Amino acid sequence: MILGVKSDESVLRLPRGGVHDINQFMSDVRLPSVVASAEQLRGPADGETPVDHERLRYVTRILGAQQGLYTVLFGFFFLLMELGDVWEWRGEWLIRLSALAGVPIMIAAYQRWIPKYYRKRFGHVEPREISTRQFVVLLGVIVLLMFFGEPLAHRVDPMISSFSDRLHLAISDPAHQVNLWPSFFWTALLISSLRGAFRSFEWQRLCFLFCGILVFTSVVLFAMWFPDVRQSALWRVCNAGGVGLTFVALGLHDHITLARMLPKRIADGDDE
Amino acid sequence: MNEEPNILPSPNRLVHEPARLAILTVLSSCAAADFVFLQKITQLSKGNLSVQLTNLEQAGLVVIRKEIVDKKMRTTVSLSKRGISEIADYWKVMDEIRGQMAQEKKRRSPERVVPPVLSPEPAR
Repeated sequence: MILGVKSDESVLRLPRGGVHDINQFMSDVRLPSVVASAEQLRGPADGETPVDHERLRYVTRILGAQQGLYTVLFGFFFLLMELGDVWEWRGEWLIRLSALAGVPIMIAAYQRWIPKYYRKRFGHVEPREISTRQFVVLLGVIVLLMFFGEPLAHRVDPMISSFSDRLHLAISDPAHQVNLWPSFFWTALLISSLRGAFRSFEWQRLCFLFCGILVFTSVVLFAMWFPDVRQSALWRVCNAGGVGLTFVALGLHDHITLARMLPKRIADGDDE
Repeated sequence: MNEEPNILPSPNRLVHEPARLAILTVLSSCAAADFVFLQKITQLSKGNLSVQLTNLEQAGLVVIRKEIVDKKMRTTVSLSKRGISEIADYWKVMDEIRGQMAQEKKRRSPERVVPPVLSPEPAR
């Protein structure tokens, strides 16, 4: 069997031979390569350098999902909510002042500073709207929760409470002082990211998620092995502000990833 | 011996060009993207990107929208319905080509030679 590709002028035929001829043929036809190195990605799509399409999609999705600094802001919002627990040793006036100053700053950041910075630095991507099927599924879940949420909660809550009690007893924390949610959250993120073959940027994300698990698990383990550490300010911040710190770290990681993958700045002025 | 050529499907050459393919791949991952982002992600020069977008618009694959925001021209590009189907068809064709090439490669690779099992010599 001879394989050929019909071109505009004629049918290209492979010379008889082995695998080398097929590889040469594929090179001659210049099929787009899915796998490319980081250097090739940074190069222009100029017809000579293969372009990594998975990276293109990945970067587009990150920017379109408004991750990055928006997630950092979300994390600070969580920290603000937990301010009482995080800064309990500093006094109430500081907590109220932080809340009073923090909210307008965050609103300004969300509505003006971050969008302006992103447009200038990365450009703008409008994310895809959810498909009809996704909308129907989401609506179905909401309706189910409205009708069956309460009876389900009555059934599930005792099981979760019992599991939580046992877990806290296992780490010598009967008073439930140690916050286990960040460890679970990072573990869930890592597990949900494990799928199929990985590209280099995905390996970096996996390493980052693994580091997150290590950090927040060590918060739990330190409290278990060294009970006195619960009095230290650093431990109390990491423990009470775990959720907020998680989102701050995730947002910073996404932002740094974007900045690395879109490194060039262009001059101000008209965009054409 | 004469062999009939097995003709592979032909990718759309308008889409197949790397710069245009990169642009269409980015646009297929979002609802719309502006000129600044397209330039950063494809690393094309402004002129080259403008030319490619013009070609794609003339071919009916993309829709270009220009508006003035804060006294600056903002260009936003999105895929047209034809563009969505063309890029989807393109990737299907490429998957088909890769599949057939993989099969051909397997067919042409040398067969594994299983060493014969020697029967023991009869005792003397």
